[in-house]
Amino acid sequence: MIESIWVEKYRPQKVDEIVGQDGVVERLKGYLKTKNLPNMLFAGPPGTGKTTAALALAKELFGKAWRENFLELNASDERGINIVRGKIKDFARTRSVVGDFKIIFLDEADALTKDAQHALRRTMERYTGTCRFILSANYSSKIIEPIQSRCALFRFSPLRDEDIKKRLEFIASKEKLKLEESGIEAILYVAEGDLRKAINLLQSAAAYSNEINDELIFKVVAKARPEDIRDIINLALGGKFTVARERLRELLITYGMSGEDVVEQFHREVFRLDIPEEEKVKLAGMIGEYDFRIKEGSNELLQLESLLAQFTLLGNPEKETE
Amino acid sequence: MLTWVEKYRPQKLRDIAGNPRAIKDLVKWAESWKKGIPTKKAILLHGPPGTGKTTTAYALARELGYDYIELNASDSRTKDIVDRIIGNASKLGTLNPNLVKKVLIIDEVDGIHGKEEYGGLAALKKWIKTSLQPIILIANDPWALPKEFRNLCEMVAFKRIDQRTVLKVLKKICSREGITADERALKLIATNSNGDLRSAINDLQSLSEGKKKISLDDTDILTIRDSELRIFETMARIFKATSCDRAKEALRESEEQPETVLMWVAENLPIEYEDPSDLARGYDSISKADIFLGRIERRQDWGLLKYAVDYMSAGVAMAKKRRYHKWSRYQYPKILTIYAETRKKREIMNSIAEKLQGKKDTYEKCHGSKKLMKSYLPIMRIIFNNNYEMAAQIASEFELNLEDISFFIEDNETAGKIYYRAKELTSERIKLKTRGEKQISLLEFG
Repeated sequence: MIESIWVEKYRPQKVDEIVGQDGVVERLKGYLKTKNLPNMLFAGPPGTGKTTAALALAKELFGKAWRENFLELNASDERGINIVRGKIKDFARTRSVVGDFKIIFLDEADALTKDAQHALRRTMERYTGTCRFILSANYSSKIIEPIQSRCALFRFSPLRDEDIKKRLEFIASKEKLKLEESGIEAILYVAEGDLRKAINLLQSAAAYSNEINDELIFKVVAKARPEDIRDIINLALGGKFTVARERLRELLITYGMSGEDVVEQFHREVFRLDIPEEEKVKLAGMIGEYDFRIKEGSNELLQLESLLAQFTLLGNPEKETE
Repeated sequence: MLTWVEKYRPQKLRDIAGNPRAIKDLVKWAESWKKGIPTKKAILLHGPPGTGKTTTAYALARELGYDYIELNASDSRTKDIVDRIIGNASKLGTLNPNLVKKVLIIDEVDGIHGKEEYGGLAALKKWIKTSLQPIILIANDPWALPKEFRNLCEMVAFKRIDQRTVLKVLKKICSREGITADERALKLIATNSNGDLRSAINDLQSLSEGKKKISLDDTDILTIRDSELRIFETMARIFKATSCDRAKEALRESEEQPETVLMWVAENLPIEYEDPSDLARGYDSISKADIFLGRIERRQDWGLLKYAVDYMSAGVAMAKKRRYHKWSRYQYPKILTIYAETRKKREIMNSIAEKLQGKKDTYEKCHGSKKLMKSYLPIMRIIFNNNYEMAAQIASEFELNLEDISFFIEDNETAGKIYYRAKELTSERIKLKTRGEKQISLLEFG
């Protein structure tokens, strides 16, 4: 058991302990009684309990032997559907000793392309006798209809503030933290119904101090999100291209960020900038264009630098040469 | 403050360093005006930068007692402006050789180009044909001018200045400025200048900024390898080119791979192009060249290379709306080293993410994708920099090595401390575990 990362340390072990999601929990408990499961699709935003629910089901159904009967796959990690199918094949080859089936949990299934999903559907059909599939996705609409129709759909909604609060207070008492009301409020504000985010925030704040208030929370939030990104955009818009380029390069070295990470953060920051609204739209459009160019191109650093040069022009339109 | 280039610019023809023959030819042509109007009314001084063309032109005008009217690159040279300035000047001409003549000096003739200056060259051609005044034209690259234009001019070539002459000038400036310089250092500056006296003097001035002594060590920043010298030339030829053919030729004659040239172009573009719109257009061309390189990589279709080459040479050259008349010290592309460094960082991030997942062991550690694991890294960075014990716990549970820990903390000493504390925690945990297992077996069999 992992103790050092609180998200894992305080992950509920039983279906009944799952925070919030009352309707989902009731239905899952019904399956536990009959000791049978359909194929399932867990849909919902991050940090709402999808992985926890899958794990808890396995732990309650298989007891100590859950690890041998539960295969966790991440669609975004595996290179191609063939690898996924290969792993599924290996795992499904042997029958479960403790139950009638094994569970295959395919996380982030919406990361699979349509073609890959069709291949997955065929694989699901092949192993219905020995395996149950649980797919998780942020959006059920990104899962093809034939798979949806073969799964029981479970919708996980963003957690209610009072549920997150209760959990935070539980962890705070276990970790002997003085969690102030203002601290809770600040965490709830930032987490937006994502319990994983809330717990991570609590732990990083606890790395500073045992007494947690709103001031500390906002300090931590600012640290976790590099201000550099905004500075870089502002430098470029202010015409200081060479400085902006230098800072971009430092950022890439310090954080090992990929071009796509930077573009994503640029895009997020643009709408928080103190610039005219119509310029935000222009910037966003440029970022989109370069997101595409990075994917088409060879050297993402060149592309990012070119994007900064376009920012510089946008911030410093020249008068017509006389 | 005057730059030394200005401060020590020779005022008299006999003080000019190098190119004695070219100067003699020029004087001869100028003298011929005293006897009447020669067949070639314009003279074109051409040659690499820093060889004395402009200095010679002005010294000549002064020495012969001519008035001069100048039109240089900082002036816009549209047809109208050329007509107005030259027209007025040349009409004042007279056939009486005793009257003071006016000489027209037009610098950077090969830079008259583009939409704005459309027609400027044609207007100039017209004026040369009808002029009653001597016209001195100056250009780096006479071949960029149309043939019929060149045929109207007396051509005088200025060559790169030999190292001994450059060295002599440098020594003279040192003595005038009261600087003691190691002869070897001066020689190195002279060699590096590659016959460009202006750049040599600029180098000397930048090296002696704020001190009165120059040692050989000081010249470290100037030493450049031979291959670099060649790529510097490629850069200059691409950036200064005013036609697609010229720019493409520069790349064709370069010994470097197109990918390498592209990085050089990107590194030095902001040094060369000052206007934001030129910079943005130039970078857009770089970006498009890179897109073609990406397509080549993915599809192994080398037939696409020509388009990448077009964009990085002609595309970049045509991105400028005006010419930049300056000497730039080009830089080695930092992007090459950054690429290696960020790749290393990303490998470490990946390895940490995998350790968080615990994929290599039989049991899982954290649940979720690598992408999710990477989202934990900023949080871990905060923990590692602020809570030594919490950090050691994480390092112990996920078996992070010193390199992983150093990803989060810059201070090596703290990283080392966390690493050793993590080792302690790990061995304590193993002890506890084995003791626990013993107790269980005692219970079972006891």
